[in-house]
Amino acid sequence: MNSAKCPAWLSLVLLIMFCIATDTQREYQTIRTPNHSSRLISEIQSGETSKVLLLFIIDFNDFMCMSCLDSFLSFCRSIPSRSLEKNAWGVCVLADIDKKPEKKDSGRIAEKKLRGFIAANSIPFPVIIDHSRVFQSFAADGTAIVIIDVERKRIARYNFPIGNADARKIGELFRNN
Amino acid sequence: MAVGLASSLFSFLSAETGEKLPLSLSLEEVLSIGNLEDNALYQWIGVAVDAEGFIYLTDGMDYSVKKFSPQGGLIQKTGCRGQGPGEFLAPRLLGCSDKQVFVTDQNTLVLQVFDRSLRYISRIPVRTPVVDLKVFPDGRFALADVSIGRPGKIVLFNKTGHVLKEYSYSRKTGPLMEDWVSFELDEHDNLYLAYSFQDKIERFDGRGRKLWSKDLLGMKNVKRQKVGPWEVPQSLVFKDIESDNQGRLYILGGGYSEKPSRTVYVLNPNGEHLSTFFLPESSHCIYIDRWNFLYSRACEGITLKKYRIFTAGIEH
Repeated sequence: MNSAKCPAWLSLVLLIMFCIATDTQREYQTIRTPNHSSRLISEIQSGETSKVLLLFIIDFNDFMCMSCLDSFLSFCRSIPSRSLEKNAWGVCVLADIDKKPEKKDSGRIAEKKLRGFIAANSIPFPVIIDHSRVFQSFAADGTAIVIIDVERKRIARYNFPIGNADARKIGELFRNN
Repeated sequence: MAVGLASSLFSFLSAETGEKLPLSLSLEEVLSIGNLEDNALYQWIGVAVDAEGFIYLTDGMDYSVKKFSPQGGLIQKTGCRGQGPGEFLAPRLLGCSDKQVFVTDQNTLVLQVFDRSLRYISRIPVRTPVVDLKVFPDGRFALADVSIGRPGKIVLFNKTGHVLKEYSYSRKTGPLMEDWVSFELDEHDNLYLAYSFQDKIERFDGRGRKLWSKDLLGMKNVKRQKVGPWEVPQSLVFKDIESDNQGRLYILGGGYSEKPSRTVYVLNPNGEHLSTFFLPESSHCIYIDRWNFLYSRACEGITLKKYRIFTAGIEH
């Protein structure tokens, strides 16, 4: 049974069951900046690579939302894997920063969960954790796709879940790149 | 695998009522599986232990079922994302018979059956998503489902999925999710219920007669919030119920307990409150194996902890 085809009440019930099962913790700390995020930032700033960039801005809280995950995976699978390898980056944003001492490992716990999810779903592009909070504002409305054009002048943003028309538009863009 | 010792003695006084309780319990950590560095567990959800002490866990983050040795080493893993045989969209609960492992999937209406080496055997259809599962050594199993729009019931099946018995524990349809329960079914077919969204623990005998009903928190109503056109409960009252090999009931409290998701109430089979203790970290469930070891969650699901339970005091 695909949750997208469920009656609305059942989707709600499944979502609540998911939260019960996973015992959602919504506070994550910002931790140190790794080197590869600076590689992404330089790729965004320079047009030397002559390619459209597709950024998946992933709000880690959406890892607690089953339909968000399904939507994310469906969209990934609608784009040719080669294009994703070449053009895409994932940026995981850890919102709701909590300074409590007992939450000191939350950032590392988030990293580990992400690692399992990426491996299990064969995500073909690099995913980094936004330790330096550069991308936090992009995730203000939850998980989103950000498209940056070749000249690095125009940015388009699409919030999840992505509608069919937008998905087609984005898909076309990457089939031509 | 890291093993530490964390023993603590808990108060004889009930946290909620201040009443004098006859038992005090302490936990000693004897095993820890999964840590920040390894790839053992990403977010475990269901746990069961077989007759030889092997530990089975579902992992929601990599869509798998994993088997660990009694010492905590990962020895088998099966499953990937999908809806085919042996695949999962959202693996959740599991239970062990002497020969098989039964696994629920929140997003597919089947119970998948594996042998104890985690080789896929078969699947059994279910009517609605399962909220609790109990598997007996002989292969019988019982399910509580989401009971939307009809009174709640627990159904006992034989090992091939044919209905043996139904326990109807409520007679009327209440507000959305009011009848959701965790349950425990003993070898004499006594049924114990911990309501997810009511302050209520109940016992029924094998004929389905209610023997007692008890509240633990003195709550009248559970807070509800509007989500779209529905009013849903804001927080769980009780998260899980388990029993040990002496018939004591262990009930994990939810958001209304003194320490949310850590408070465990211990009752005897007559519903008398024996003790209250706290888990070291919050957990979505508890599990007690046949040797009375208690298992619970740590580090938001990347770690499973196993504890020995010590008791002190006089139980009447």
